[in-house]
Amino acid sequence: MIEESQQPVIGSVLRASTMGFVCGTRSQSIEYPSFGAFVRTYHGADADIEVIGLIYAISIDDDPLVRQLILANNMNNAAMRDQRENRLVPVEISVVNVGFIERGSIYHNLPPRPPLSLDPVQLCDNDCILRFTEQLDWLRLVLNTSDAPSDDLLGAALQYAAGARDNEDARYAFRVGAGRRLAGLLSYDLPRLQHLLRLIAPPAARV
Amino acid sequence: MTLEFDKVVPQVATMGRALAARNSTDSQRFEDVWAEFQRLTDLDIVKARIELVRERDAGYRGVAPLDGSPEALNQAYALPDGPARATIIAADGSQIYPSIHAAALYYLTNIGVLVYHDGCDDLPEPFTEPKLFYADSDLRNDGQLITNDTVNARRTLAELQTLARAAWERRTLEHELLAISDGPLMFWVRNETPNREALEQGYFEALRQLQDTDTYMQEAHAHRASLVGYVDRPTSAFVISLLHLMRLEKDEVRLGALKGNGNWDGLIDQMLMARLLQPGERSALFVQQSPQNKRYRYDWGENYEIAFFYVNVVPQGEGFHLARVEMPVWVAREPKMVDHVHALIYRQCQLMWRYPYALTRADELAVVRGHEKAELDQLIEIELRRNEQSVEHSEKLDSKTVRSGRTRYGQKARAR
Repeated sequence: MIEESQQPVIGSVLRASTMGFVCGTRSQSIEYPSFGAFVRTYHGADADIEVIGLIYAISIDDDPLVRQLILANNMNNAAMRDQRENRLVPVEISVVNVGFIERGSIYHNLPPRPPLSLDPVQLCDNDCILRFTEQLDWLRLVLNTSDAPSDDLLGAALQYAAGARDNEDARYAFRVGAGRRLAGLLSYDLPRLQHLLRLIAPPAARV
Repeated sequence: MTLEFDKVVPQVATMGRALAARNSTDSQRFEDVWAEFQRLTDLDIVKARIELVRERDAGYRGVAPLDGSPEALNQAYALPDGPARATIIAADGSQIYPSIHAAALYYLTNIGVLVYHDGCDDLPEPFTEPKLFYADSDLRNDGQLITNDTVNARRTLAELQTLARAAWERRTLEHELLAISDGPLMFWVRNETPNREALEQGYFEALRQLQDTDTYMQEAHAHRASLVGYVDRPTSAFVISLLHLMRLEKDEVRLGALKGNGNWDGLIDQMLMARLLQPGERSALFVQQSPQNKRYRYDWGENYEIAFFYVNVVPQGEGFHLARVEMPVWVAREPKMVDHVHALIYRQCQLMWRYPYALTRADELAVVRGHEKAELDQLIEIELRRNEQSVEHSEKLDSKTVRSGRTRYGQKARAR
């Protein structure tokens, strides 16, 4: 069983499918989510499924008022704060689903049902990431996704997952294990494999 | 059937040629107007002519100089520094008109307000005041559904009342206060509008509350509260009318000659001001001589007559964009308050290039978008059903939905 954590809520589900979902948040709440981070949705206590996903895009739409302010080129702090803190300028965070938790068990498949509108979306804590990435079956889902930049997303997610390990040996072992799994999955595409291995290598090894 | 552009394009070409020809003749006539404007140097002569036209009750609708103001009418006035700190409150409103095609008869007004703290980094304060009206007494007059003009009048009153209340609540702030209303300050209500007198009385009381705010602030901490109505890109010809009046011989000052501006009809003040005003500069203060403005003066007191100046709001070094800034005489006759209004309005416009920031935000807060109206309609339908009321849509509305391919369920989702 993975306990609900005190990780920050980064937004609420705007629209969703079994493949992924988009959550919205306000622009001043953008400090937490980042590309490749693991997130989970959670419903009320009676819900049986929590969806696990990876953030693959964070976007802020422009609008005519912001364009006008940029054109005027005379912004001050009060107007900037008004735009960022008062105006309902949504940040959209796109997530690709990589698994789900059902009655405490982890599955590295697409969820049977999407999250619902307005479900809160939370960053996964280290414990959740560790549990979810003990097995690497989710790599295949990311490699096969067509909506996200899959190689860069996978590189970033594996760096996150490695970072959740609490010592260098565990991080190294995780990277090696992930590299081996990728080698199996991408044996038909060596240039892509080579690129991915460079992305997940520890910083010191990237020469 | 959609617009058949192949039939419209030749008409657009003709229109372009016609406008070009008109601009050409306008520029010739404008030189005459400009010359007359340059001769407008003696205030006493102008005042004497205004007296004459008043005596003859000749239906003059142009401007007069502000009583007691020494400002030359054909001069530009430089941008003052303005106050170091000020609170700017802007209000704007929007509405949903009653529709016989909706599931239930109602109308809604929504007033948006932004309180902006000029001269510091404090977070601006936005708020809205939506009000739903559904009682028969709100919707009908002598059994007939009220008109959109009636809703507009009630919304305009609500805008000023909200502005006045917001200003009064901030009367203890120890710096200058500027309340900005969108559009002209003169409240125009059609004769047939139900409860017209009550609406006008309510408007006057809001004006008086704003003046009370000024009086309180002046006595409590020696700061002032001003009120302005902001008119963007005015197309008025009030000054042109004055010039037309000035060029007439005395015995020509009659109703017939003042129905229009003679061969200067079609020219507007904006042309004069474009040549007169550099970025940031304002015109002299004027008072428009309309019957309505006279009524403000004689019914409510000389403090409530509406004066105005024009101001070129573009940033330094750029071209021209005109606004008309209207204010009650209790603001206009105080040179320091006029300076503050001038400086603060210009500062506000610089944030947005050439329109007040606070007013832009108030408008944004107020506006009810199409999808919001659809959601409100749905909420009303749900509530009607919950109360076991039958819900019927008009066939006309439903057919419009079908024709335009719109769905009643909002925009199509864009899930991955």
